[in-house]
Amino acid sequence: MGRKNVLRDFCVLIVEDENDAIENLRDILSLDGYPLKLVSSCAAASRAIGEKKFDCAIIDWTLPDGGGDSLISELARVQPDTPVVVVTGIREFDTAISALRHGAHDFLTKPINPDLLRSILVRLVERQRHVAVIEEAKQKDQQRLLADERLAAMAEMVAGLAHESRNAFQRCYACLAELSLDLGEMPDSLILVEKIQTALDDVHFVLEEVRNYSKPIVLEKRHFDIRKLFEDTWMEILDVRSSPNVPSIRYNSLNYFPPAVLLDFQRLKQVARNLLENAIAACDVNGSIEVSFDLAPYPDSMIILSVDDSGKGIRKANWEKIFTPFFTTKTRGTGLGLAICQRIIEAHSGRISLQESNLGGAKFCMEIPLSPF
Amino acid sequence: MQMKRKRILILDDEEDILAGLSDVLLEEGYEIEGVTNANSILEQFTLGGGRDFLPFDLCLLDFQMPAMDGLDFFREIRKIQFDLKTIVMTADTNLARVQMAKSEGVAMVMQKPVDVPLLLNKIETMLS
Repeated sequence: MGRKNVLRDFCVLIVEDENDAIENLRDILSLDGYPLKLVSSCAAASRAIGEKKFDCAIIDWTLPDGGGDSLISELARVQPDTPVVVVTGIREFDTAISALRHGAHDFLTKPINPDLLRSILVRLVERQRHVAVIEEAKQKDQQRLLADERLAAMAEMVAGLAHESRNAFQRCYACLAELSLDLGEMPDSLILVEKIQTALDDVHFVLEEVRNYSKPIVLEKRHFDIRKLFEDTWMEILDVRSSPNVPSIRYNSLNYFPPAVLLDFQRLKQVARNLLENAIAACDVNGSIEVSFDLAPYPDSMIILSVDDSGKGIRKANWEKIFTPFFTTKTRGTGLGLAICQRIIEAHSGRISLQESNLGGAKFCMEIPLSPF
Repeated sequence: MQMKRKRILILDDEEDILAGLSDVLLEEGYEIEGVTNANSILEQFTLGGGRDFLPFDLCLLDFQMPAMDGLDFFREIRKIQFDLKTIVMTADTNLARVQMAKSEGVAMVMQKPVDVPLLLNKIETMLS
């Protein structure tokens, strides 16, 4: 079935003026299901290749109105990807060699041997399929390169934007501080000043987040204890929280876990902070969070970290979008946190995924290969 | 006994920032010298062999200025008053020059936009 489909798409142009040979070619190729176009002169062949793309051309070397060489040249110009098979008389090896030098793909001698013809065409179909695969890969590569370039340009723009806006924000903050002094006796107006300040803080925060996200990730790896990193990050989060009521946390080390891993400390801290803060936001104060550390030694050494929470979990419909930039289910936040986490983990050649947690909520699982040095 | 008012030098090329910070710090009871141009203030200080120069207790310094870079100004002012406590405000993300300023004796680097109440708090701590 699959093969039939391919053949139906593989159009063959036959340029031949001898009736016997025409009959012969038509019988064999029609039987195999190749769509054919039969012409008997160079002029007719020129018209045909001007009208339609062929996947292969079988050309008699001596035609009433010209030689195969000029036709090959023309075809090479109009349809450079179309391979040519030249038909020559028996014992005309000089002609065959000349045809190959003119760019022919292969040659056949008359009378045409059906098996030989079939095998040549099968090879050409195969070849076309390979070319298509290569072309597709090339195109994808090119698209990826373009996307990378665009991202890099955007990152530069965002960095510039954030930088420039910092001075503007500073002007606003300074002016607002001055305004607050003038409005000292007017509490209602001061509330408005505060609201402006908060709105500015929000815009500033978003800009910095976007800058942070679009910044190219250059890893600076060093050895550190990743379990301690999570514990310290948790303590830091608690330090700046206004309410002392937070979910309980538990750390699990399964099997053997290395005391030091070679990763980017600052970046992993960013991941830990994001995941832990998300977990807190998902749970109520009676909830619980569990951070697990595991090591998969085979086939390549890989650490498996996961952050579980007992919150409501994430709706299945949102699972696919959860790592997409600017996607958020929270009322506050930029929706960049998990996108940044994913970028960081992928920069370490690792993977981050969302799973269902045994605690009832979400489970973010990271697999990060350990580099040996 | 009345305490001598602390003197703060503010250097920022943006008038609005300078005016805002100056007013707020004045309100807090500091004596303020605010300038937008680094060269002019340096000239003023060194005039007549620096006879008119009154030492400052603190310098609040914008790191990116068109006429003179903050680090260069810091180096110059330190020739006049070596023990000057300096807070740098910077919008820059490239921290190499900021690191250099720190290693040369800048007391604190704050990322712009600097939260004004936080700044007041830091200044108070540094001057107490």
